Amino acid sequence: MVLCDLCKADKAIIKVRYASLNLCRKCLFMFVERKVEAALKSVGVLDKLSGKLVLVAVSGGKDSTNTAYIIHRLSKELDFDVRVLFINEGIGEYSRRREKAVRNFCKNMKIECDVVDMRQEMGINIDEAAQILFKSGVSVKPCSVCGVFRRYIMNRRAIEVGADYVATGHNLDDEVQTFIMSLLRGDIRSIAREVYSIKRTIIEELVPRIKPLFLVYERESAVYSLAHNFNVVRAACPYAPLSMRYIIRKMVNDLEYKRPGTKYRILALKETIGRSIRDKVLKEEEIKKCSKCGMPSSREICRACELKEMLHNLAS
Amino acid sequence: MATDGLKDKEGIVIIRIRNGSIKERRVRVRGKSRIRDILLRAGINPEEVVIIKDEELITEDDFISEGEIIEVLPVSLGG
Repeated sequence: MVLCDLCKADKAIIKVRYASLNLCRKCLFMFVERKVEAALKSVGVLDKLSGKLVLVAVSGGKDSTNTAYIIHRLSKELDFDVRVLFINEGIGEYSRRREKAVRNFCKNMKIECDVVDMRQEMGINIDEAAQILFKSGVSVKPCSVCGVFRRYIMNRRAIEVGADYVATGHNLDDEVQTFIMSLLRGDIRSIAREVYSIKRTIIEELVPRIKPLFLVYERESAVYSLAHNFNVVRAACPYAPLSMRYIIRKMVNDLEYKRPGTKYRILALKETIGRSIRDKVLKEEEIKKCSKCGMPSSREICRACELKEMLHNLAS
Repeated sequence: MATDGLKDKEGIVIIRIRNGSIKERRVRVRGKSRIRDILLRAGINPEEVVIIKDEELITEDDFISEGEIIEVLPVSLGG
């Protein structure tokens, strides 16, 4: 049996290789929760939460459920309100199981839960969109549509309920993968936009997004969830193997194993590069209102309306 | 042929990979081995999995003996 390197009393349940630490259940909880506080502090949000409303977007998976749990705990300490948003993206049984898991979680935690149907909000769900995309042979992946539509619904619902912040379950691995995907696309704007800051989003129709798990490795999040025995859906989205993220994840994990701390170093680099180019790259980018839906966008027509129109045209 | 019979597990450890369905890998061992080494020999990156033995979470630094079974769960499942 391996003992915890911090308390030296309990059995370790995870090895944190980049810190050369074996941690027990209790010490892992403290380790993850301190990282969440640090992530909120780093963007100046932690001290401003009192009296505010945080809308947590929960998918029924481990990361967003952990986020909702930790934010709910913090809300008792710091006196702010929490609501959960679940978006049913219409991916068959996968979405149905997730909806059930989120409803149960919210019931047990006594958190108010908004369930939004993507088809009702956007006129199409992901299964339908995927069918159209596969049939037409266009290069847009269902995951891209899902991401754009989810962000759109999240922001719209946050405005409707008067939320001050939207919290998502993005972990450190997600951030690193997104950065590498942007690099591979040569997408400098995306790197500038992905800087972890809430400054840029102080626009009336764009509710600031926070990422409490920004400093938490995916592996730490997975063990945190299992150690809490959260009833989450541990199944991959059927469309996930189609995404570029799938390949990048494997590559980064191989590097992390050979050189522990690689993910941290990439995250630090992402932030350094992003901050140094942000003002220059985004200077010309004026935030307008989409001429179709009125939501904020850097283009004449926002990406969500553009995709909706494209899918409609491909289907007809 | 029974797959879980004691005789079948002599000199090996079984890794059950719970990735939606359950797949099984068998690794030859002699006596006690560190779990990390067993995973690497099975082509599994310890960074990508959570390790469970007898329904309890354990670390890659723990040891396993021949005839024993561990379960691994990909960390990315349902993120």
